Amino acid sequence: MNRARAFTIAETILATFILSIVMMTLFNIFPTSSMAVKKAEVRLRADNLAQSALEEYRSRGFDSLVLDTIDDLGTSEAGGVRYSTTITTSAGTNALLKRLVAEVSWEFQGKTEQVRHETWIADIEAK
Amino acid sequence: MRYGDKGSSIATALLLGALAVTLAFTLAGISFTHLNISNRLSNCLYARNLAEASLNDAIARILYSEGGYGNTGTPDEKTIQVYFEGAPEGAEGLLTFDSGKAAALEIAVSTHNLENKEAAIPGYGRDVPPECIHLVGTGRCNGVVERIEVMLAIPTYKHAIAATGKFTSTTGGMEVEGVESPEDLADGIITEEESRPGHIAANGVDDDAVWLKGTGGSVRITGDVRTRGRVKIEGDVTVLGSLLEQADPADIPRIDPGGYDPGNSALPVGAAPGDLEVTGALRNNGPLMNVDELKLSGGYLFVDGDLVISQGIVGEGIVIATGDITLLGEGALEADKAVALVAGGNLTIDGDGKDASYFEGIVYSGGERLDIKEATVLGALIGSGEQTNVKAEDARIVHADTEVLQFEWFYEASWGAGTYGFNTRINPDLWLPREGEIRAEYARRPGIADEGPAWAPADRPPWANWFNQSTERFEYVVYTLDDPYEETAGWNPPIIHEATPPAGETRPAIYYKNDVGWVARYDFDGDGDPEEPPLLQFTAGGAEISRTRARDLYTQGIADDIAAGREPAPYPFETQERLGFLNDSPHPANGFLVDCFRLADIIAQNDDSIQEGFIRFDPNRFLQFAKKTRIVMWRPLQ
Repeated sequence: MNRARAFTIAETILATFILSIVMMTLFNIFPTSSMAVKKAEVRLRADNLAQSALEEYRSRGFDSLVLDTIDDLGTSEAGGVRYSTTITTSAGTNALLKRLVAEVSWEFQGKTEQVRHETWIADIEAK
Repeated sequence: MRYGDKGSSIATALLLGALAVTLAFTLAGISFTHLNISNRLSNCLYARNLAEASLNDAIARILYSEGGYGNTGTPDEKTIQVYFEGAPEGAEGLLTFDSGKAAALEIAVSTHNLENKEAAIPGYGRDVPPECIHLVGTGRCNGVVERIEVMLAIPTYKHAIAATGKFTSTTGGMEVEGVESPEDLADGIITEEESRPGHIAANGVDDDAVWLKGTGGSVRITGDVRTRGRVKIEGDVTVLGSLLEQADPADIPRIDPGGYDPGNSALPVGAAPGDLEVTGALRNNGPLMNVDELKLSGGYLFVDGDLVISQGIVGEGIVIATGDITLLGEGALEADKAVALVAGGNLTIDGDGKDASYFEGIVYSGGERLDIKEATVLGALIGSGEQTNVKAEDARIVHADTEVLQFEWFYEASWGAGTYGFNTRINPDLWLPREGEIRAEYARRPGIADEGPAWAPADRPPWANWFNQSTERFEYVVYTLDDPYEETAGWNPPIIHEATPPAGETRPAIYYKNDVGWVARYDFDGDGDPEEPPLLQFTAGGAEISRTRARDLYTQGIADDIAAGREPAPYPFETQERLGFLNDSPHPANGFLVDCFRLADIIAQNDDSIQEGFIRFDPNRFLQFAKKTRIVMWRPLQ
């Protein structure tokens, strides 16, 4: 009988200990995981913004892309994050090629993050 | 019971623990998956952009080299590798035309089938049609591979008749055909085996943009009839090809007769009263209205105004007039191989019948109308003014490839006291580049865009530059080449001219050769004084332009258009004959500065008096390569 009671206390302590460890781990994982997911979402949104900016410039046509310019496309806000986008147009390896670089930057957890996407455009009309 | 209580307590704890752990792992798993997907999407974007970049790089090189890139060269030269700054480690875009390189890089090979005009050849995963280039770009980023395939089509000019306005044939008896070789028409009969499509294109938009009437004689067309408007057909009309109504406008060559002005060339002319025989290059300073018969003995007649010939043209040569050309009368049109009959204005040919009046070459009008009646043309009929209407009555137009549009010629050149060297190579490429950067390619090794300049800064030859308004950049052309060739690993462009401008001399000048040797002359007044080198200067579009009257020294194309109040024409890119050079030394800010011109090519240096060259009026050369190139397919490849 005594053994049985002693076991109960030990078990309770053990159970509490196990649960505490598990819950602590869980509580640690949860915000980390949540933050990672949030960070990935923010990054994905930045990728999309960069890609959209590239597509928009690509659709303008080769001749309208002025070399050696940096266009500030301003800021946009989504999910509580403010993104700044710039497009840089530069010469390619020959006169019939131009390079577009889209850079999107944002603040996340006090740090400035940035993605950079690039595409090259040849001087050929889509027909 | 107590055991049960004990058991339940620990089991509950373990169960809760297990649930919590499961939850934790699930959360971690979700996060991991989310991150993984996010990274993969990002890598996909990089890979796709890299694949597209490699494709665009390849397209730019192909356009740049007018189709040459990918066809010849070493495996490395035929391979493109693209890297983006800031991209993940190892991310790259790849494209190659070399099968060995493709195997080594584990990518698909691209296929060049541009030279082949007839047959498809096997490419990666598909047959590549003739006159096409199949490109497969591969992008790799962190294990993600994206592939995109592109089919470029660069069709050659195939129209027997082309009009920027309407095409009309309403009297019957018209035949539009094609042959592979001029010999196929030698006996006047084209057999079924010899017959090729003869196409008609009219960019008019009306309901009768093409009007074919087969009353009074049947009308037969072996190719397509294509128009932006509609086709009106009456009577006995046979079209073996397709009727393509409301189609995209056809690319129609545009020729500027002024670009062929031979300048002050007092060259031998054997002219009898009424008749005119041209054995060299002749410029008539004004209209020429009273020619009975024009005999071209390998000659070249340039008329600054209208030209009227009442008894036809015979022989072999070129006739260009800035105004109207009218060929009338009883005499036969028997130009064996006239190569070109080019009018800046209207053009009228009234022959003696399809069997009696024959012309071989381009018949071109930049005016409002081009009329041909009772004659046969082997070559091409082109009406390419703002809106040129073409009319053919009882005529036979037979399209043939470029063979009929080119011939060798020789003439003796002399001017003033000394020997005056002309470059006799007349083709549309005599225009200097509108975009000097393009020429930088040719200052290196043709087809190689990535190598550095051929000359070290200290060794650079004299150069010319001007400010291109359209690109807002300085552009450059090299005129003097002082042995840069050893440094360029085998590239051996012709030596143009060995003279060097005097130290500090920056005035516009012409170099020409006299009895003593090469001499530089300067002319600032542009008064056209024949005693002076034929250099003109004027201002157009805010830029100072220099132009010579000598052929091959035409330094601008934009200014003429601007001065004439028309949209700058899309002149073709230059060929390797034109040498450009990217000079990164400080530039003057006065817009236009020419150090020297060249006045003779390698042929002129070899011979003091006899000039030779070839003249070619291939319509393809008048169509800008980049403009006629089409992307007919662009899609992801699995």
